[in-house]
Amino acid sequence: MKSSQYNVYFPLKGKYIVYNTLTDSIIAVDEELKTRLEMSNVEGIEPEMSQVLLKCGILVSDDTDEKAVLRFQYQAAKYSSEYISVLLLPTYACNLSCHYCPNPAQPVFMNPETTQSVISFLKTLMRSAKRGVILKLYGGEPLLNPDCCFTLCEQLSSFCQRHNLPFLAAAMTNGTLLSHKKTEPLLPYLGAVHVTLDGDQLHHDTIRYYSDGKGTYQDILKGLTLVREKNIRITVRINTTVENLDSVEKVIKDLKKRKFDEYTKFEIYFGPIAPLEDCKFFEDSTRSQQFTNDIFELVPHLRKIVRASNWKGNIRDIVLDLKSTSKPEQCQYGKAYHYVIGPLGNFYTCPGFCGNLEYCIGALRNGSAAFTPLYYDLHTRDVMQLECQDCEYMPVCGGGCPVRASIRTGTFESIHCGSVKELTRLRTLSYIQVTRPDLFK
Amino acid sequence: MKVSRYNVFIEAEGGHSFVYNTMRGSILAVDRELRERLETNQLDIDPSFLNPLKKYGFIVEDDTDELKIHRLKHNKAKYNTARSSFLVFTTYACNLCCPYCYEGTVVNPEYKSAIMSPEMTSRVVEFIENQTLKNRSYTAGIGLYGGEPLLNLDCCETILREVSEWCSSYHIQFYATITTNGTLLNERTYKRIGKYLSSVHITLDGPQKYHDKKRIKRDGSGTYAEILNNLQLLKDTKEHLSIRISVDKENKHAMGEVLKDLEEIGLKGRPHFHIYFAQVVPQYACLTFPTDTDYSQLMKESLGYIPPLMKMALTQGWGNHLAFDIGQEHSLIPANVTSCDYVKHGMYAIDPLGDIYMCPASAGDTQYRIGTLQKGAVEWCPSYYSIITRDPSLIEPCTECELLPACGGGCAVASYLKYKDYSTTFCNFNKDIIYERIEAYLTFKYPEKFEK
Repeated sequence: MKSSQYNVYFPLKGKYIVYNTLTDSIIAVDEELKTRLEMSNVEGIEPEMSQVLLKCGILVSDDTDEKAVLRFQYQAAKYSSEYISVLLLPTYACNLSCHYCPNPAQPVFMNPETTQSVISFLKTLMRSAKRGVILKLYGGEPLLNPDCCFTLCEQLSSFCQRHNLPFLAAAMTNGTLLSHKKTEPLLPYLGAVHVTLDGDQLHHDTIRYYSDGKGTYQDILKGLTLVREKNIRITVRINTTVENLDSVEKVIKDLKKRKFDEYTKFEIYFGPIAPLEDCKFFEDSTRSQQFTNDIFELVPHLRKIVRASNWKGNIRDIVLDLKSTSKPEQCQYGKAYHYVIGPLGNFYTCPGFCGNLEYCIGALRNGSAAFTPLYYDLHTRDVMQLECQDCEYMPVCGGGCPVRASIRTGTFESIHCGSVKELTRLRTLSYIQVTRPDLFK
Repeated sequence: MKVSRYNVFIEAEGGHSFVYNTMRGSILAVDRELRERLETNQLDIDPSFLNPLKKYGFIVEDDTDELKIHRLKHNKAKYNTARSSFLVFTTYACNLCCPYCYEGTVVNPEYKSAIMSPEMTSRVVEFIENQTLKNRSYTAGIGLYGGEPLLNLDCCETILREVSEWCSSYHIQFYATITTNGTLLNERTYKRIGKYLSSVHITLDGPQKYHDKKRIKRDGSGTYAEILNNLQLLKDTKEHLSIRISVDKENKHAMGEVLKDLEEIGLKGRPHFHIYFAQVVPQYACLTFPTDTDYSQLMKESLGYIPPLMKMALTQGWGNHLAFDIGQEHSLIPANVTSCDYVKHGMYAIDPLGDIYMCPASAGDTQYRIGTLQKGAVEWCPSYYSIITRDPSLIEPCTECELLPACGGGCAVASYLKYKDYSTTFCNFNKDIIYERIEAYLTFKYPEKFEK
């Protein structure tokens, strides 16, 4: 037996938390055991404890090649997918003028020809991969191009039905156009809607407003009510900062008053306000570090608000929770069956860089995709060949964001740690705070 | 522009050659001058030639990295688990004693009579269900295999019934095949399992006088008549029926008789009926990568006489039942973007004792076991991860080889046999055989270019 190469140790109130980044197991140990594990000095460990540690993957058998196991898990997650996932921007335009939005609302719309190209490309892909499609309509504000959204959904859904493949469509919208007449034909195809609220009406309307300055809160709630009538799943992100906690409490009360907590397909989660290009896992700017710390501070307050509200429905646990959100290693945009398509039919590395031609990795031409060498560089990046291949954090970061790495070094075949190590510590502690509060005493 | 690294050249007659691109499966007849230009990367040629050369992948843009394109295709093919497939050895035992089966077999002699127990059958069903969900597969495929799988009919029926019912409750497509010697696929057995089957695979060793010398029962009696009688049962059924016709030097002249017999029992024109000619192989030998000289020689010889047999079948009206195109299963050039159909995520071969292997060729040899079914769980061996994550596009000399997209980097087990390391490659006879396959295909497809 030997110690796993993927154990990390965090001090906590005179003890140590051992978190195995490969198996996600967590155990609290004293200093002596921690030292033995660090030194892989396993002989003195009591047999009963050894068995527990072995089961958790904190100890492994001598012939275990953990790097091969990690490689398999990583490759399987990267190259196999339950669905072909497409994040599609029918337009860059938006009908709101939120101050924090990084995207200048350009009046660029996907035209019918490009829409047909997307459909042909996806049909070919579904035939070869034998997988269905999950279409995420994104923007700008996707519902500003309702014809494009409808055509995509109608034709892809009919193709999937004929070929016995699943089709799911979701709109990631500001919510203001959900009750508009032009959106109506699209609703039967939507499985899910995602909207963001910036707090209660008072707070929200000072941030999310139309170009004439009018607030959007009431229009969004009207839209969500209609969507509920159509039995569509709703996810509401509530933007949260240390300053708007009162407002968060009020919006939850308002949603409860409108009985959204009784609607089983309704879910809330809390998120930070962050520019789109700030990836929570890999940004290493001072702002991001500060933000990470702020969120960790927020977690207990948010949990308290949720408890006090007597909310009956689903609330996804707080942003940082280790077990409730995916590891950054699984950044969906690095996966082979995930595509980000802009309104002009270009493919991009991820939504954070959509519209930036430097990160354009392909284009649709007459129904088929022509990918650039960059696309193959991105999707054949072999994390187990990177300089950090032996790092104990590799299972949670996968070498970090390849795009940010390439900004720094000029190649995807390099690493970018970002704030992953600190974030992993915070996520672990946040998880323990709920599951084993006694360890904090 | 530059020349593709995956062009191979086959000499024809009259100063002509063929260039075959192993990545795209494209073919072009070229004269001496164009061949020389392609071989030496001199692309200052008539623009009207450049476009088709580019379109079919014989030349590529300067910044195209074809090795990376192959790596992505390879990984997508290897890790895609849209389908989970389970090859189940219901037993290693067989009611026949074909002489070639007992020669050179890798199966541990003490396993010869092993039969999957009801308790192990339950474990297998549980494993199939759990693994299909874990792989998020849309389809669960069962392949009943052996030995002779129908010697353990209860096991076959239990697995098919339970997994098909489970699939139906989870809206997962169910697909079942059986590879049988055909002697036991009679009315009684078909009644019990026929309704679950999507495909049946049977082998004939040529016409009766040849078949009955090899595919014999323990008392020495032949099985041809019995198999053909049983095949009549499948005349009007809906499942896919595939017959492998084994060919060797002795029987190759008599293949017309087999086709006549199959026609007589009404199989010609049956929908979903497929025949193919292949050399006789020892059971448990790999059909793709031979590991010994004799077998590789057999394979090469067979490439000489299989194309004329395909032509003969074609002229006799069997065209709809044969696979000709590049990439089709059982055609002269099958698709091999991964080295073989077994080394894939979501593919498992489970033997009667509950040991899991990567492929039928290694089944029964415990040193190649990749896992074991325990009660309620599966224990994976370290070798599983080494085999499945082997990436030939990172291994020399595959990185430089023009045949990589056609052979997929060869067999991991053969590499291990040679170097005791899965992350190596061992070409052995592969290169020769792939070149001969390409030539056999071209000779079949364009005979006029090879006439002297």
